[in-house]
Amino acid sequence: MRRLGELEAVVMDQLWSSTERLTVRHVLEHLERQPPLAYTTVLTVMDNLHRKGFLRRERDGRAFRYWPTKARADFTADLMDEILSGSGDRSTTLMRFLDRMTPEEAASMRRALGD
Amino acid sequence: MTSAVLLVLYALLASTIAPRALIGARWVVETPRLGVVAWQGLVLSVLAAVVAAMLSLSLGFLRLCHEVAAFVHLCVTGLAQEYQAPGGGLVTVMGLNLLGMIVARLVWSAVVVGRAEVKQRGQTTSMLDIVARRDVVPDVLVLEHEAAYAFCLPGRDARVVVTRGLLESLSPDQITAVLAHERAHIRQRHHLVLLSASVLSRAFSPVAPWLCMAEEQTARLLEMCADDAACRSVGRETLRLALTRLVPGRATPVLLGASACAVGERLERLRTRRRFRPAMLVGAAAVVVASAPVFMVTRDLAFGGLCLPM
Repeated sequence: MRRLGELEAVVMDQLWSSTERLTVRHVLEHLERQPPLAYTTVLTVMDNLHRKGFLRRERDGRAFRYWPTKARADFTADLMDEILSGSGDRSTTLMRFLDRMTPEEAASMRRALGD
Repeated sequence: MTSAVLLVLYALLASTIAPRALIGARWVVETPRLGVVAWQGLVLSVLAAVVAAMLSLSLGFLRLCHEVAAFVHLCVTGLAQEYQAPGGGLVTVMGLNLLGMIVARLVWSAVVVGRAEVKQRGQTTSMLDIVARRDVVPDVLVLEHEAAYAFCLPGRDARVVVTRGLLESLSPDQITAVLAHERAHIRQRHHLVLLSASVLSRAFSPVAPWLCMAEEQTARLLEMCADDAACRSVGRETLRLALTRLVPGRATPVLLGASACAVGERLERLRTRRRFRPAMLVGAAAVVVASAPVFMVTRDLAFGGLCLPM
């Protein structure tokens, strides 16, 4: 499962850095893997990413062309928003270990440090 | 009956006096690990006292037998004896009911909290694994975000996450300090302590509001534990400066009780901390006093000594 997640990340990297809509074949050819991956593996990964909402696709002959739904920065912003606002009615432990300060604390600290 | 009364009395006294004592105590902040043990020990000992009180009310006396059959037979005859007297029967039923409610409430809380935790972690982890960069800092996920944040996802597949903003506003030493702090959370399994506190608080805070305070204080102290662990490798001043560079953020109810509020306090603590030698002794004494009833209860259950039949 961990390796599949890693593959999803690598595929998204490629799609985010490309300005065009890419086919599975194209992505497979630009993945530098020894031993090389199977076409079906990459196909499954990209299909999963489409299902999860990371990619959109359109038909191009027999194959699909894929492109990201949002830029990486937008996904990042959404993720940060979710983590900071603590989605769900109760905070979970993962939210607890977030290091940051409130504006009041920051202000009083700057005053104390004589900034 | 006497032991039930004593146990309930202990539960009441402990839950009114001890929290206030712990909040004001200096040794708690000086040795945060002991502080966490004290808070959790307090919560667990009060719960154990209440449960034991219910048990002793409902069954008169308990003896731990090696043979389950003999134990069951003993319970049945004990119950039969209880039911002979009308007053005894009522108390027995009450005790059993309350015990059942306590157990059910605890199980429900554990299920709800556990499920939410697993779901949240799954969602966040799968998003993070795709969106964050792994090739910037070894073993650390980097989010392309301009504000300076650092957090960890504890557990089996633990991850430490920082933002690009943090990497750009802190010096290499300070980054090391922040990473050491987050790794300490993971290594010392703080999330398990918080989960337990959270389950207990969720289950019983309607009748014992001080449990919410126990949870918040535990979270606050765990941050200090991680600070202490980080200080050992990078030095206090480096960590302190790193903390001052973190971004001012929106205070939300969710994070208010946890690290968000604690940062100012942690800074103060890192700046002025002196070795308070008696802290260890005071802390140890407090823990022993808090756990005494637990030992008493265990001894009761094992030997049926103090318990008197109705």
